[in-house]
Amino acid sequence: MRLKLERRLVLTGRDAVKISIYSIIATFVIFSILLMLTEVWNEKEQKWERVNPLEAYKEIFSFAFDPEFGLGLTIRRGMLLLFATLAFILPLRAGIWNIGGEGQFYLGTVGAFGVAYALSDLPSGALIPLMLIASALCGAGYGAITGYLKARLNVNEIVLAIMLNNIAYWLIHFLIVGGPWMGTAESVSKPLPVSARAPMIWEVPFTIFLVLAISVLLYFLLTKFKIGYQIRALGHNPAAAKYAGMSPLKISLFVMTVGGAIAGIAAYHLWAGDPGFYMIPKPQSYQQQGQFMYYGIICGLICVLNPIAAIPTAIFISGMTVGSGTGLISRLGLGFGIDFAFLGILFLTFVAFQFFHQYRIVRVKKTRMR
Amino acid sequence: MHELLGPVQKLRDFVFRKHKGKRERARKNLLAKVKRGETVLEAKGITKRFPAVVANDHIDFDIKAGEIHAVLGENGAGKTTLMNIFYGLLKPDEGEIYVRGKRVDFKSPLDAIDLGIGMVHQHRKLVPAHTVLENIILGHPETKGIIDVKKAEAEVKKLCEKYGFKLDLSARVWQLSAAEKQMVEIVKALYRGAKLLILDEPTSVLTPIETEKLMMSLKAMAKDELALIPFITHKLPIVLKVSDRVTVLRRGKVVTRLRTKDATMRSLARSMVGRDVAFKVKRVKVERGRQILEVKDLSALSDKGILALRGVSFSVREGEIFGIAGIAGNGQHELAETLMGLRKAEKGKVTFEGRDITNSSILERWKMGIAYIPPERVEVGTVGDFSLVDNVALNYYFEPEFSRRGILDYKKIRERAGKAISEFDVVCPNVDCEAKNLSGGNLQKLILARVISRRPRLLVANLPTHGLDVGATEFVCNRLMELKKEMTGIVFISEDLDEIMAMSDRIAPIYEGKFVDIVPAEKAKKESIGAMMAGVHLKR
Amino acid sequence: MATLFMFAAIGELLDQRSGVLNVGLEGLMLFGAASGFITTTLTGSLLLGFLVGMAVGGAVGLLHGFLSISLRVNQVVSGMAIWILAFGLTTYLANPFTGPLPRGVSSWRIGGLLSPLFFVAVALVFIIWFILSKTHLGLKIRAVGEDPSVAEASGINVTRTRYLCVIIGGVLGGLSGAFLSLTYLGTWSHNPVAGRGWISLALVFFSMWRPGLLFAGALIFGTLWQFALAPEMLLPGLALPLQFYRMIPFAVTIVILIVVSTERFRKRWGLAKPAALGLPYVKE
Repeated sequence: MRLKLERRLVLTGRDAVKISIYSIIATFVIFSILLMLTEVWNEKEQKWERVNPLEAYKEIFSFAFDPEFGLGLTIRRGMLLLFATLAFILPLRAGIWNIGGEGQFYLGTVGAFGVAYALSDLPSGALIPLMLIASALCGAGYGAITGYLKARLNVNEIVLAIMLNNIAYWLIHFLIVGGPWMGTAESVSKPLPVSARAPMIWEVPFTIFLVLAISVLLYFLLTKFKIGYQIRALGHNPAAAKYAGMSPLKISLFVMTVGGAIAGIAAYHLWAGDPGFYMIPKPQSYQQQGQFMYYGIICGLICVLNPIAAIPTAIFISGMTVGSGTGLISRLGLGFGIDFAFLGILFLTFVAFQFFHQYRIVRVKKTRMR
Repeated sequence: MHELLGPVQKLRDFVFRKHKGKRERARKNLLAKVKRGETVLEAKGITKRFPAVVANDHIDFDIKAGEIHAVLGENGAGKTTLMNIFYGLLKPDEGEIYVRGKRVDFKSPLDAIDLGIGMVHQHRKLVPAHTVLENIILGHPETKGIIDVKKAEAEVKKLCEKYGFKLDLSARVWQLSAAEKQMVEIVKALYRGAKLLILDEPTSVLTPIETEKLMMSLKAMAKDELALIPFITHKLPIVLKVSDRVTVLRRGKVVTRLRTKDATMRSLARSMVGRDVAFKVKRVKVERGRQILEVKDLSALSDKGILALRGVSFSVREGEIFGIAGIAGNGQHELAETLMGLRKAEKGKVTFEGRDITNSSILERWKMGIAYIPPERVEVGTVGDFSLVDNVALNYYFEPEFSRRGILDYKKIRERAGKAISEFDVVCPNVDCEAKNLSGGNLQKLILARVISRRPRLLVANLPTHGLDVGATEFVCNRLMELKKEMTGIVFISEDLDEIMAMSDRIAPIYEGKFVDIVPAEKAKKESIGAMMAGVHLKR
Repeated sequence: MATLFMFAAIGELLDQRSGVLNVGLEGLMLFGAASGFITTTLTGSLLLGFLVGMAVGGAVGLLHGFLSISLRVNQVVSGMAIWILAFGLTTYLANPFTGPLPRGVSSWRIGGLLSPLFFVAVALVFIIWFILSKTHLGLKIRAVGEDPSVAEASGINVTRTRYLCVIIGGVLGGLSGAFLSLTYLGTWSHNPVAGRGWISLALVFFSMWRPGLLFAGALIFGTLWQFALAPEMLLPGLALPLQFYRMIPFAVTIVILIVVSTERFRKRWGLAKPAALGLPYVKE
C-alpha cells in the first residue's frame, strides 16, 4: 500500500471540520511531548521527575472547569476570546483578514476610559451604555481605516493592521505613562469610577451575554440578511460579486466597522468586567491582553468561521490556556508561559494542517506501466 | 516534499559547478550536429489527464530538422498541453519522448533547454519589471557570478541582427508592444541555444504586417540553423503559407497528419471541427421595435492599460440580435464589460432607453433591465461554493420583492430558482447542491436561466457558447432566439463565424478595437466577414 | 539600534524579493534572542550565543519556508503562527533565565557607542545589494519574486531559490535577535523584542525593497527610536512625548503603503513591489 499526495478538488464543510479536529489532536500530541520533556520538582518525593502528560491533562481540565477554581476565569477569558474571534470571523467571511484586533481593542479601551473619566458622575445606567457605545465607535473607526484603504487602494491589510496596532499601543502608553490618565502608581491608569464597573450576573459580567447575543446575531446576519449574503459572495468570489452589482467598498467598510466595534467592546468587557483590573495596567500587562486578541485568529480558523461554532471553540481553547497556565503552574510547578506555548503549538499545528485543505492523502495501488 | 532535499544538497555540496559540467556535456553531445532531415524529436503515445478532462490522448508526433511543422486545433484540443509536455513544464501520464533517438524524461524546463528546446508561450512568460536584456539572460546555465553586461549585450545584438529582430535591450518589458514581447521571447530561446523552437499561438496578437515579418524570420531560421519549429495556431491561412507539414488535433487526439502541399483550407477546417454541417438554430423573425441602446464613439482600456476599444458606435433595437464577430483580443471583451459597467469608459457615450448610462454603476444597470452573460463562467458568472439557489440570488438579491428590510426572502428565491432550473433543464440532484459540482454546460444553463428569467430589456451575451458541446450550444442559441419574442435587444459576441451568421440580424466584425463595418444579415457573406475579422477591407 | 533593524530587515528584504512574506519577523527575532541568551548564559561564550541564535533563526526560517513553500499555507497566517509560537515558547523556555547576563561576559563595544556588528550589518546590506542587482543569482531571485512561473519556464528552480532566501533571512533575523539580547540589552525579560520586529518589517516596505533605502531607513528608524528616550537632549524646543516618536516609524510606513498602492505611483515608478510577494507557487 503506497500513499500518494493528490490535489483536492472539492473541500466540503465537513472536511474542514475534520481537518480542524485532526489538528487539535496533533496539538495534544505535540504538547504532550513538550510536557514529557519538562522536569518538575516533586515536593513530596523531593526529586526531579518528568511530567506525565495524562496527569497533566487531568489537572488542566479539572482546574479549568471547576467552579471553585478556574471556571470563572475560563469563562471570562473565553468570552474575551469570543469577542476576538467574532471580530476576526466577520471580515474574513468577506475576504478581509482583520489582524487589527489588537489595535481596535486598544482604541476601544481609549473610548471606554475616556467616557468614564469624563462623565464619571453619571449613574451606571447611563454611563455603561455610553462606554459601550464609545468603545464600539472607536474600535469601529479604527477598523474602518483598514477597510477603506483595503477596498479603495488594495493596500495589504495585514501589514497595515500591524502598523496600526503598534501605533495604538503607543497611544495608550502615552495616556497612562506619565500622561493625563496616569493613576496612583506610575505607568498605570487611574481606576475606573465604580459606576463604570460591569454589573455581574451570576458572578460573570453582563458582557458575556452581550457577546453571546452578538454571536447569534452574526450567524443570522450571514445566513438570512441581504448584507450577509453580499459578504459571503464577496468572500467567495469578488469578481462575481462585482459582476452582480455589489459594492466591495461598502461591504468592506461594513465588515471592518462591525468587526472593529466588536473588538472595541471587548475592551470594556475586559477592563470593566474583570475584577482583577478596573483600570489599565502597566504596558507589559495591557499589551499582553491586547495581544490576546490575536488568538481570535486561531480560534476563528478552527471553528471554520462559523459564529455559533466559535462559542464552544473559544471556551475550549480558553479552558486549555487557563488550565495549562494557572493550573499547571500552580499545581505542578511548570514554568511560566506554558499556556502561551500551548497556544503557539496549537496555532502552528493548525496552520500546518491547512495544507490538507488543498491536498489529501490517497492510497494508490501499484499499477503496471504499459 | 522531496523538494526539501534539494536545498540541503545544494548547501552541502555547492554542486553548482558539478551540475553544470554534467549539463554542458549533455548539451554538446545531443545537439551538436544536426543534419537537415534528421528526426530531432519524436513522441509516442503521449497521454495527459487533468481532473476534469483528458487533454492528450495517445498522441504520436515527430519533427525533423529544418522543418516547420504546424500543429492545428480548436481551443481546448490539447495543443498547449502537448507543447508544455515537450518543454518539460508538464509530465505526461503515459508515453515516451525521444530526442535524436535517445529516450528523455524531462523533470523541468531546464532539462529541455539543455537539449536545445526553446518555447515561446502564448501567455508571455516574461518579467514585466525587468529589462529586455535581463529577461533574455535569465537563468542561462552558463552564467555564474557577476553579470557581464557588455558581453551579454554583444551576443544578444548579434542574434537579433541575424534574424532581423529590432529590440531596445534596456527597455522595461512592460513598455513593449505585444509583437516586441514576442521577439524578446524568441531571442531568449535562441540565446539559450535552442535548436528546436516551439511557438504557441505566435500570431494571435500581431497585425498582418507584423505577422509577415515573423514569417520571414521563421523561414530564415529554418533555412539557416537547421532549427525546427513546431507551430500552434488556429489560423489556417498562415499554416498554409509557412509550414512544411501539418498535424491536426481534436479533443486530445491526432486527427490528421499531412504535408502542407497536400492540404487545403477546407480539409483542414473540417478535420479541426469535425463537422461540415452547421448546428441547427431555428431562426426567429420578429418585427424590430424602437431603439433601446445607442453607443457613440466608445473607447476603453484593456487590463494592461492599452487602448483596446477605439471608438465604437452602433445601436441596438428591441427584438434584434446584434452580432459582434471577432477573434479574441480585438476589443470585444472590453466592449461587453464597458456596456455593463464592469469597465470604465475612457471616452464616448452609452445611452439606454434615452438615459445616459455611461457612468452608471453595475447595480443600476441590472435594475434598469440590462443583463450580462460573462464568458468566464466560473470566475465571474457564478460562485462555486454557493448553492444553486444562492447563485440564482446573484441577480435577485437587490430586487425589493425578494428582500424586505434587509432580510432575504429565501422562500421566494427558492421558488424562482426551482422554476428557472427546471425550465432550463439544469442537471443537478437538488436545488441546494453547490455550483462547483456542475459541468460547464449546466453552469451556463444556470446563468442563462437566472439572467433570462429577469426578462431583461437588453442582454449582452459574451461568448455564450464558449467551450460547450454541440447540444448545449444549440440549446443556448435557441433560447437566445426565443428572447427576441420578448422584444429584448441582444448584443451577441462570438468567435464562431457560423454561429454569428446563424444568429444575428446585423453583423459587426471587430478588428483592433474598431468595427470594420456593420452588415445586415441578408447581405453578409461568410468569406467577407471572415476577412474583415482578420483586418482586411478596413474602412478608414 | 539601527544595526538591529538592518540585520532583520535586510534578511526580510531578501525573503520578500524572492516572493516570500515573513510577517513572523518579530517571532524570528524572539527565537534568536532567546536561544542566544540561553546559550550564552549556559556556556559563557558570547560567540557561541550568536552562532546558536543564527542557527536557530535559520531553522525557524526553514520552518516558515516549509509551511509557505511546500505546504503552500497562507504566508501571513504561517508567519503569525510562528510569531505566536515564538512568543509562547520563548516566554516559557527562557523565563528561568530572566535577568542579566552572567559576569565575565562582555559585550563588544567600540568607542562606547557602536558595536563592531554595526559595520558587519552595513557590509551585509551592501553585499546583498550587490548580489541582487549585479549577479545572476540576484537576477534569478528577483525573477522568482516577480513571476515564479516565468522563472520556472526559464529553467530556474523556484523552490530551491525561495528556500535559500528564506533560510538566509532566518539566519539574519536570528542574528538580529541575538544581538538584541546579548549586546544591546544584556538582560532577559518578558518579550524583549517589543515591537522591533514589526518595525523591521515596516522598514522593508519603507525601503521599497531597495537596500540603499533600507540602510537610510534603518538609520532613521534607529535614531527615532533612541531619540524617543530623551528628546530634550537633542532638540529642546521640539520635544514631543516619547510615544509619538515611537509611533512615527509605523505611521510613516502606512503612508508609504498607501502611496505605493495608488495607481499613479504604480505607473510612474514601475512595479517596485515584487509582484509575486505572498503568493505560493504551485507546479502542476
